Amino acid sequence: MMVRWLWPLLVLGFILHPAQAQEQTLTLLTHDSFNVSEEVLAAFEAETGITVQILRSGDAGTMVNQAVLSKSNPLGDVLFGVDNTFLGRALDADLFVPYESPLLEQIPDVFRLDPENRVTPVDYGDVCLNYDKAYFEKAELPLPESLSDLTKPEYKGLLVVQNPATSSPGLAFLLATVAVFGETGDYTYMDFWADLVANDVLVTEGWEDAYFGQFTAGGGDGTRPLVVSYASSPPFTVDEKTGEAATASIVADMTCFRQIEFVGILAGTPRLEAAQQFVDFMLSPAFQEDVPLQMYVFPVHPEAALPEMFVQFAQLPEVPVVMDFDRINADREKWIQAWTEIVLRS
Amino acid sequence: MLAVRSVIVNYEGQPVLRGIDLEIAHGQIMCLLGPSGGGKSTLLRVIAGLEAVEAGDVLYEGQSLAGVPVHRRGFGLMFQDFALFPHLNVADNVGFGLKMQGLNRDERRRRVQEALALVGLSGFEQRDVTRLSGGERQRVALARSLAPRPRLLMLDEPLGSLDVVLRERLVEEVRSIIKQAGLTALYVTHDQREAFAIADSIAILNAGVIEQVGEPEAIYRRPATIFTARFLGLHNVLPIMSWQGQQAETIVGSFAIQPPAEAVLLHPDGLRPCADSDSGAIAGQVTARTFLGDVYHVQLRHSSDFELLLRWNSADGAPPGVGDLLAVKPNAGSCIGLREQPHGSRSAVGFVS
Amino acid sequence: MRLERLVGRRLVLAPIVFLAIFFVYPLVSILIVSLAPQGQIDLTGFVTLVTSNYYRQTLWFTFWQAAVSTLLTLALALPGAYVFARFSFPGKSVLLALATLPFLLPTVVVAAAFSALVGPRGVLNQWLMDSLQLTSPPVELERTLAIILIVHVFYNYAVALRIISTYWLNVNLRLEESARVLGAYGWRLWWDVRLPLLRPAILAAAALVFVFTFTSFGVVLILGGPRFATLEVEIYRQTAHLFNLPMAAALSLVQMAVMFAMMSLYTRLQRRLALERVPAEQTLRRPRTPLQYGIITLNLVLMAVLLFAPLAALVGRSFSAGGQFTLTYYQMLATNPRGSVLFVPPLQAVTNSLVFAVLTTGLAISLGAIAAHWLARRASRWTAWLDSLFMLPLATSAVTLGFGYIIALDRPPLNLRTSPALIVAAHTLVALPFVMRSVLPALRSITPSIQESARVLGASSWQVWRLIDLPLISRSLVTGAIFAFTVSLGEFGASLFVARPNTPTMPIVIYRLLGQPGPANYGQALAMSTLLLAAACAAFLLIERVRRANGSEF
Repeated sequence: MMVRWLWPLLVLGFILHPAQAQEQTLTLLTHDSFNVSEEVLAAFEAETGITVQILRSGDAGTMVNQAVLSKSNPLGDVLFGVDNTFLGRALDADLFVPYESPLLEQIPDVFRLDPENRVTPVDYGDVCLNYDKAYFEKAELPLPESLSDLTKPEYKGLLVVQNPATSSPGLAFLLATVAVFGETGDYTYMDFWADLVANDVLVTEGWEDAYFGQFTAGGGDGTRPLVVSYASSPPFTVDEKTGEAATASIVADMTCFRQIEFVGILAGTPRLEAAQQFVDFMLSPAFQEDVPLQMYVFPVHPEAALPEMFVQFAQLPEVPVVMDFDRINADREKWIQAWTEIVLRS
Repeated sequence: MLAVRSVIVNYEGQPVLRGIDLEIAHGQIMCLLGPSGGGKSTLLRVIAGLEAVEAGDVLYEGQSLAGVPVHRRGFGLMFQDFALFPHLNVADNVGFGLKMQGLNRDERRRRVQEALALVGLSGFEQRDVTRLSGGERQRVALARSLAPRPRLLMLDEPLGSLDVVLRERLVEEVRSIIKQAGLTALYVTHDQREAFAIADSIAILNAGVIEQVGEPEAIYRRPATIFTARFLGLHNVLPIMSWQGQQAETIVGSFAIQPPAEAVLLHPDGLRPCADSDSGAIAGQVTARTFLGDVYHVQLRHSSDFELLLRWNSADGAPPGVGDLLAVKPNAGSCIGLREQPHGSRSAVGFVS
Repeated sequence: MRLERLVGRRLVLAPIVFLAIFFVYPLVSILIVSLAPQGQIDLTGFVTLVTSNYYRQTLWFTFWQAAVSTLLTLALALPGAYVFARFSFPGKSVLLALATLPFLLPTVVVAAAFSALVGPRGVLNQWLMDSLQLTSPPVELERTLAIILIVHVFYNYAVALRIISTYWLNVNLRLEESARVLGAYGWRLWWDVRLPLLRPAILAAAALVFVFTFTSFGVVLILGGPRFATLEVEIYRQTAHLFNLPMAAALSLVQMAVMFAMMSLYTRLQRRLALERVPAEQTLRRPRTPLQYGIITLNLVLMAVLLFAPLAALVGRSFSAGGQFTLTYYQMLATNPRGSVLFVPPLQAVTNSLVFAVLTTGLAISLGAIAAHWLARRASRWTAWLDSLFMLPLATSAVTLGFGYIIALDRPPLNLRTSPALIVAAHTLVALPFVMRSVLPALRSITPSIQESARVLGASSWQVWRLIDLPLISRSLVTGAIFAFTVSLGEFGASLFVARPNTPTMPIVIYRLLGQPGPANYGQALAMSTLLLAAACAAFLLIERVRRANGSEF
């Protein structure tokens, strides 16, 4: 009985004290691909009394650029989604304040790229070649086992990649080739790309077009059985009737590039404590276990339980390509420009 | 020269022309006169080839034009709104038809000058047509129609958009220009004064039917149908109630008429004052008297309440005033038998010279 | 009376204030940040632009493809305009409405539609391979200049068709008939009479199509592939990925300068399009000769192939899974399963889109009517500039403006960066030119003597507006309103920047669904696209009902 008339009062109180409500609202700045289950987020909100407002603004690059531009008056309190390919730009701009979460000690060191803890790792994904299983079976074609295999004549006209200037997996794949073939010597990454062009590689602007439009197993009308995608993509091609995935990823050594996504607390936030609570939340089992099906990546927490379909169909490369984010930051534009000239304006 | 044979046109299921027969002779100016919506413009468009016919044919020098497209007919057509090409100057407008004929530039320039001279616009070659006065535009449109020397010139209310003063001045000018150029012309108007002034022959067109064809004077003097009489402003039309041999009985008296006829017209020009006691005198009270310069219009109310109009020559002195009694009598030849329907409307024959 | 006048004065300023806050101020802010980051003007972007072969090529390609697209569009739309301006036939207005649909579709969807039709595994190639016993698809259009041009025509055909046929309908038919009587026929009739008479409309259509294709983004990005880059694509690349703001600003300024010139040309031409209206009955005829039937049929076939085949392919796909008819994708739209990419069931986006569209319509109509009223009354050089300025949002890169919002609208009372109000503002900015272009011709065709008569009879200027102008332009206002509505429904670029996750719009949902792997997401994206089409269809049919002979363009 009491509850019934208490509610309107509560609501009224809420309306009449917007300042208080303001204090409770934490704004999360993130990219287009961010997702979290409603109930997971709701649990956090109920527990802490913090309301989370999510602000998605373009892809990862656009988001970081926006954050850099609005540094003096940040759009939000927490930024999630900066990965190792853009981390340097964000750190150079002093976007974040350091925070060492108590949960961080459970996270493997390989993910903890910033010794100052200005950013905290949340998830990782490997950009790998994906292939159409049916196509390779039917053509009785062996799978490529290294990046240099891709320039062989039997793979001519089979591969579709993304433009590194406009696509995150595209950039990751370019970085992998830079790391594998190097910038100096007899055969550099530029030579490799020239050979790929000669081997009729197809370039799209974004992942969507490559995967849905050009890939043979993406649901569209594509003609390319090899695509640059994620190691976590195959679970989503499982046929309901057969229970089999139509695609798989190639996880051979030094063919995949590991992307690690970070969260950071934006400098200048008046809600430091709430922001720290949110970072802790992102490392908590609830959030970590929610990550795979929401964002198609792997949680950094080694003990987070993976969903069944991930265990069954998502493979993890043993030796992925890793590259120092400072090096990436220093030369990213140079590599992209070189790539553009070799691949697009040849 | 040009013959229209049993032409029928329907538009959206409504008859517009219901069997038109018409002939125009060489060098003649024929005028199509009638109220708006009577089908005059449609007939022009049929002759020009712009309108398809349901039935019937148009012949030129005895040859059917059925298969000849608009641009090969070699006719001229001038619209009421002149339809001058706004993107061309005066010379290019006038020279348009010549260009289509494939004439070279010098020849074109000569003929354009000639045509402009004919309409009195020499020196206007380079002017912008959108900046001309109404009268000037009319002349340019006329020159444009004349320049290719059409086999037949058609003018659709060519003076209709001009003011009265200008119109009266231009009617005679247009006639003399057409005559000077030696053209055959078909001229559409709804204004009888304009028609009388310009035409060698007039065809009265009403509701898709030709009511009467004849010389202007003949039409005015002896209208053949009730419609023609009324359209020409001859309102003394008395329905015939019965016949006594050659005598047609009406509410104001009986008149000697050649049957068949359904009504009698007492031509207002042929009513003369007479004594009350004269046989055949029509007496009544003057209800209105209007001075028009050369004539008075006198309105007379007969005892049957029929209103009679007579034209009183002002040279004969002033007519009786309003309220006075007056008796009149028609001259010989001014009692005219009128038909309800045009007589043999399908075979009206034009003036042949 | 005094209050009325005071309010009136203020109201007049509303559109300008709106434009200043939501367009000029953010744009100038981002340009300043880009070109003078430390207070020092840095023009290296411009220097690179001139000296680098790469950018010169980009600029050249942008011009070139826009010019060719414009010519192609006009070449195909002109015969179509002839058919629509000269003949009446059943289903005409519905057809014209449908022809305008492509204009609203997000590029991703159009790309999917075209690939379903002419892709290597599309309907056309399948059919050709089956019937000609070929082993490889004979039609290879993907990633070619040809597909860019085809899709540009697909998008802009109706724009040109509408502008030219509306004008043509009002060109005195006697002019053409006079020419025919004087001996013109065939190509001479076209060359010496029709084309010169239509010149203002053709040029206006050309200017508008050029504007749309010059700033082409998605079509070039997705269908053309990375080999082709327009200025707009390059601005996006430089801003979003390379973070080379000086370069992006230089490119933006070049683009806006070109566009402003084209818009000025267009608005100037539009003023000449205000013609005395000729009742449609006088110019419209039912076809009679076999040739006329032939011309009409040919144009309808062209429209069917160019415009409706891709749309049909799209709709067809949304109803099929593995070659079988299914409603699954539509059913899925109503649910929000765990693992969905959205915070809300996708169908919620329909409601959101409708709400934003209604708000946008209200705002755009109010501001547009005021601005048009103002521009129609005062004909000075200054209003001509302003007229073009209102068109400029159409030519501004969404990412540039988005960044402008981030840095400009960040302080109270304009701290709108995270407010849904910004969606409405952004949509209004894009819808406003359409409203103004609908209303201005109608306002300009009101004879001043009508307004003067009302003044003499004692009406205040406010009463003249309410009692005379408003009823006279009400039809074009409705047209403008529905344009605003549909533009808002289809808007994507700006929405992506400002829409919040809990309030996604339909194009955003399509985009998000396409961003996830798996045929289920793909199917839902197509289903949502079909719903968007249906909503737009309904709105456009409504336009056609109210338009009739009133003088709107587009």
